[in-house]
Amino acid sequence: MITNILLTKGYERGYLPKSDSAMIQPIFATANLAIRKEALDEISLFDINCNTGEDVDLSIRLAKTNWELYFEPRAVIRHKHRTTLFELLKQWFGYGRYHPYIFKKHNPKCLEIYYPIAKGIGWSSIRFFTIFGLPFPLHILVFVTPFHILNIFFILIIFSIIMKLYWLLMFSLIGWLIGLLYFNIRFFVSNFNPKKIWRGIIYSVLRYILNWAYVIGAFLGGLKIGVIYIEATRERNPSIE
Amino acid sequence: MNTVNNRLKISVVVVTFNRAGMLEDTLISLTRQTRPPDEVVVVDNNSTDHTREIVMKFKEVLNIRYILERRKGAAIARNTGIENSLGDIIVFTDDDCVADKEWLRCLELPFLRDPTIGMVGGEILPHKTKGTLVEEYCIADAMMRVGVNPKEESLP
Repeated sequence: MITNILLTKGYERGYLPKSDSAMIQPIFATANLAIRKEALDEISLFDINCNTGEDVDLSIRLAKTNWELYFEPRAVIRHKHRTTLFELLKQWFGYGRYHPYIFKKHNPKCLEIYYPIAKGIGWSSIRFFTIFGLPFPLHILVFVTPFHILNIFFILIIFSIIMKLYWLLMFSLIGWLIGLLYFNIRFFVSNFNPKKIWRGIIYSVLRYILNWAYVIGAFLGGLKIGVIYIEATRERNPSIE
Repeated sequence: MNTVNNRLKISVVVVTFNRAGMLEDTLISLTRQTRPPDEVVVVDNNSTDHTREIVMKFKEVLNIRYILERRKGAAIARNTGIENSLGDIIVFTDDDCVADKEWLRCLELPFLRDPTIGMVGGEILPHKTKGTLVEEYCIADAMMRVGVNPKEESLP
């Protein structure tokens, strides 16, 4: 789900472009996925150490070979979404949980930071394999998304209040407000409708809570295996029909 | 059309756990495919509901197999499904999903056209447009959506 999470507009029909970086390889979910037996034989079966994300791992492994991944939007599956907030949060907590395992599996020890560079599949990363000349001791992965920046500003606000740092407080407040606007504006820009404002606000709040479930799931999953993992959050432009 | 279909055998693998009702909808959608699956393998991950009965109901209309996988885990169960499949193409979907009738035909075509294609993924749309607030949020936030456009009406 990692690439799908980061995308602001989804895949185009056709061959999916591959990446040097494991975490932003093209991936498909097992809700709607077909694989050639011949290709599957080359890359071995689903990794039983993942309770979720086994499809992410499979797709990454296939993307690393010469086999192509192809998106056919006319092959349609209709999925029944979770009906309660508790179930939804549980689902996303679960999604995050095994991503650190996948990261660790496909990368040597390093610090990798992902940041957005353009719309669509516009993400890039920088990797540090050494620190002060020594090999990097841990697996650390950080995605920089508006959600994270929003929360960093919030932490700075609290910090500056406690430490009574007026200028930092001003800076953090402004940053936080801009971040809040940016985080929420997506729910309004694509389909602006004054009647839908309350819906938009509720959806923004739901997305915010959902992101927390996802990030916490991934962070805790990472801690269990000695990985520091700050998960990406949903960047897809929503629409209010 | 028939010679094209005979070249590749398609196995559909569905892993299920305690969703007998939803699974029935999934299996019904497999009976309505314009390009029928050559076999359907349902892997029951130790359900305690009437999953087995539901699967047996489809024996007449699908080349369907029921496999009980007691060891918990979607990955384990999917692997069991793979090991029990005979197809050239193995297709996965879930027990909370329903397939449009052109699903398999559209999934198969890229494999037929290009031998370098190893995996084909399709679009995942919401099952309905109205529901609980949470469901409607999921729909609005394009959850599970793969592609850039809504479902294309025209077919190849």
